Amino acid sequence: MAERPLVIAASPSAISRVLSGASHSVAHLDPGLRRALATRVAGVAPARSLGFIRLDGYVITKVLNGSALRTDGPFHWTPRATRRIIGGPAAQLVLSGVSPEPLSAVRGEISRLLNQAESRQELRSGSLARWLYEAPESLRVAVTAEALTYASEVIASVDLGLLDGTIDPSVNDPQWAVPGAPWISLRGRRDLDVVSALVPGQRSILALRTGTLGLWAARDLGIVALSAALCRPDQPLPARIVGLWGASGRALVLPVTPAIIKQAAREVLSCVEALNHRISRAEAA
Amino acid sequence: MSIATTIDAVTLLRGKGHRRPHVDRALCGGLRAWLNDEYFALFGNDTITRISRSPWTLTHGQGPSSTLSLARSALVMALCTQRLLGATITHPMDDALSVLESDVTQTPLTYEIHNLEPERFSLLAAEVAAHDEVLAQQLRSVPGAWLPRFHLRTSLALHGEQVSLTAMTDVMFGPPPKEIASVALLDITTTTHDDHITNELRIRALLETLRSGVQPFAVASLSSATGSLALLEVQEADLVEGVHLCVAGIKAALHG
Repeated sequence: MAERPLVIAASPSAISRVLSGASHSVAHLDPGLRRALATRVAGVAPARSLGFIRLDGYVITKVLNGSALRTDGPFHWTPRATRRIIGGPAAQLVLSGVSPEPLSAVRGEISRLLNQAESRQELRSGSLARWLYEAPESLRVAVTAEALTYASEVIASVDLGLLDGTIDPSVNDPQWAVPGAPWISLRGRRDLDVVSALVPGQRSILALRTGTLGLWAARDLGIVALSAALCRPDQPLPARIVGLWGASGRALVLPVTPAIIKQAAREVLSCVEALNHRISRAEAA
Repeated sequence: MSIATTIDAVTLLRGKGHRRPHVDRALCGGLRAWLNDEYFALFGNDTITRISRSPWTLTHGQGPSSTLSLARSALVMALCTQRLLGATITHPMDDALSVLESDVTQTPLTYEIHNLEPERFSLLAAEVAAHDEVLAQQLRSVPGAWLPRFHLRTSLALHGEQVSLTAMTDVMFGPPPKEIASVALLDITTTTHDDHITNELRIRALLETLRSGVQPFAVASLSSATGSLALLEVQEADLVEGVHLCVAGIKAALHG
């Protein structure tokens, strides 16, 4: 019988057990779906001249719900914006046993970036390394606090003793640039990949989320599954995506099936269509 | 509960390992079910009203906050983080303000601070420096092995999301518990502790228990105004009292 989405308490033992389990049936991404999605998205994509469009679960939910997207102006670094970039590698260092605890791992990451900026003065002005290099000490400490909090949350979310599998040390979110419209990319924000010890190549994904587990949680996790599948078409689909809403102490376990992937692909396409429609209306006005 | 004026609040909060309670996995479910039952009785057929409360508003009621007090609180919290991570602070106001300015969510507050009249700005800077002196005496840098986490939100939906209990934990220490409770919470307040502090800490302990499924072993509040540390070593009776307080607070909000 197929697994169904399940809400569980967000305890490290429960999360680890769920992440460790292999899927009853191993499925692969339908290559036809990948081709069809790329073709159809490219067909309705807004013009390249309008800039890059980065889609993730948050953006897609906002667009499909008819909400306005935040326009904060040009991106600039903040301690908050660095938390996953610095905290992610730090958490991986601790989970893989390279670093004994997250604070030293975070400080190591920051030192690495500072050294990079110092030794290569030509680093572009908007880079994280350059920003950190030029930031006052108090801001670097604030960055340390954010990254440390994030790394500690990742580490505390799983019980390594119960995790039957290996943690993939790669820290980048899966990101799929649409062939035919590479200015549109799909990103699945996730925080930990656990490779199954039972099924070669099969993985489960942990995605940390803020706020409370809401109506659109499954859609968000479906997008994570789709982007992971699109980025690794040769590998089996992820067994399941576990979304952890730490603030409410709840987790949603989404078993990944071809139907989930298809639904997520439809939502991506609808989102791009809706964005195109919005842009056309704005231009007409 | 103890109230102490002491040096090194974090070590005091960490306490003695042998005093920490064993984890009771069934406790959280029981407390949540009890709260939901009480709210079911309180709300009756009312499926419309939604109430949101925090430990502060449950114990003190809703009250307006001045820009100055909000600014002082945000600036002092920024300094607390710096102290706990072992930073050297030479200009408290400048250091705290540069952290606040980098946070887009604090833009309205930093705008207000920069628009203060020079005398009020100087007064605020002097206050922040005084609070920082207290923090410097009370806080030591925290070992990374304690997994310190800063500014964590709790947001619990109860009774079909009609009741929302929220809290902001300034600092959390300790790895996730296995057999023995291993997490402690620290709140920083820029005001002095009043008679409600024990109840506020009990509610904080309850919310963390409901969020994580396991009770914290200690919850504390450090007053940066006086340097006093209110410390609650959490017992089951405190969580039970926390339930009573959460019920009474929502009842008052519902029926006036």
